[in-house]
Amino acid sequence: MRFIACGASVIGPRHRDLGEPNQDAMVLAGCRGGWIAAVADGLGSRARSDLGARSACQGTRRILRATSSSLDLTATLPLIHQQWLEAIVPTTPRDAATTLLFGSVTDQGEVHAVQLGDGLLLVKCAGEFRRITPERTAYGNQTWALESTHLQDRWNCTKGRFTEPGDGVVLMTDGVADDLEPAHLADFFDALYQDLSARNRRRGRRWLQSELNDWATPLHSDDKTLVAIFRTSE
Amino acid sequence: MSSLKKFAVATPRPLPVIVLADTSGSMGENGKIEALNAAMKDMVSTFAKESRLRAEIQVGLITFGGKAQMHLPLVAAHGVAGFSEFKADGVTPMGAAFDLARQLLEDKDRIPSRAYRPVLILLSDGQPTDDWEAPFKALCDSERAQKATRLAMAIGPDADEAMLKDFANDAEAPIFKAHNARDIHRFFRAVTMSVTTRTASQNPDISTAFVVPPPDDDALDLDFQ
Repeated sequence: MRFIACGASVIGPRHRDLGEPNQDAMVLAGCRGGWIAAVADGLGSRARSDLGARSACQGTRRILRATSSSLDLTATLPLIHQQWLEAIVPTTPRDAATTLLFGSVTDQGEVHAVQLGDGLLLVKCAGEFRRITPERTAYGNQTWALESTHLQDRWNCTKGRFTEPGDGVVLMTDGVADDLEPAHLADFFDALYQDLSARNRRRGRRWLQSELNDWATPLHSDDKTLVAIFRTSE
Repeated sequence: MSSLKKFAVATPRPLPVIVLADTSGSMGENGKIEALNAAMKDMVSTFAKESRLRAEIQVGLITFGGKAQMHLPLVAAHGVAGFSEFKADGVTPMGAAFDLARQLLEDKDRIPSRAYRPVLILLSDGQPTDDWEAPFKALCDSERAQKATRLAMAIGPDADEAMLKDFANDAEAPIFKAHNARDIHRFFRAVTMSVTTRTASQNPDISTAFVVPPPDDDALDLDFQ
């Protein structure tokens, strides 16, 4: 089975103007013929949210690489939280709080993905598109996050199998998710697949970076991160 | 090749500011309604001119004098060409105003989920004349409406300070007591500064310091009686 995988993280105008670091982070890595991916968005109000987001993504990659690909991802959540707590020391969990979305795709097209907090998790299996992230009940920027205590029931989880070209999983932080038309998410997913499958990996990443940097929503300000993994053929 | 631009929302993220203004008959005394009208116009025009924004400030005005009504629907401040002045008249149906505010805050078409946390400002110079407790509880219990930042100003000595204290939920901004027309201006200058600072800040959802500017000692102003 063949895949195309691509990700980009760009600093938003607000942090660029203030000379502050990107508070989003991402990882995308090949693993045993499949892929693992994570995106994280450090809470903007916290002093070391950049560290929190980076540590969450790096820890997730380390744990997923060391874990059997058949293991249910939800079983890794307590360990990922514990390793995150250790990685951010001496920073407090409150100062490093971050959202986290991650997923794995095996060489056979089995996909598992989970989400804690804001952002958007989209999946297409057997040609059926699904938005995994529930509708937000309140307003923007009010989110669950990795902090001092692990709460398993705060995570949204999904699993499935890629059976057709165009099946895939897309993870993004709220800098992108909050500015997408909710009614057109399936079209957005398909457009990503079409554009990325027409480019090689390096050109795909450049294209995605350019799209995120030239975001069309007026007064957009947030850091923006998106990772996509699609099945392309047998 | 396509572009992702066509999937992006074409409007900025809004930051709603909703004023619940007591326009009952007693507000017509001692220059209160005139001061309130001037302060409203100053606030809206400052929001409209603010250029550092990372959000679109929207303003909605709900009045309760005789009856509760949307005096100005929630719209972008830069699009407000003007609005009719408040007129002081009638009783104080504050509970009905709470209902209007809750309905607005719960309406995902008028305030989308991507909006920054709204600011709700209550100002009154007297006691509510309707059943306000149940609507106030509904506002505070609403999953969505309760997330708004609530500020309050008591105008003059007859305001129901206990109720206004219960209304305010921002630790940075305890209830403000306006003793004269200048104080009404000072309060709304602080609101204006707080909101514009939020929109230019790293995270517009975080409350900023609420600092009421000192009075102008040269100005002559009579206290509300």
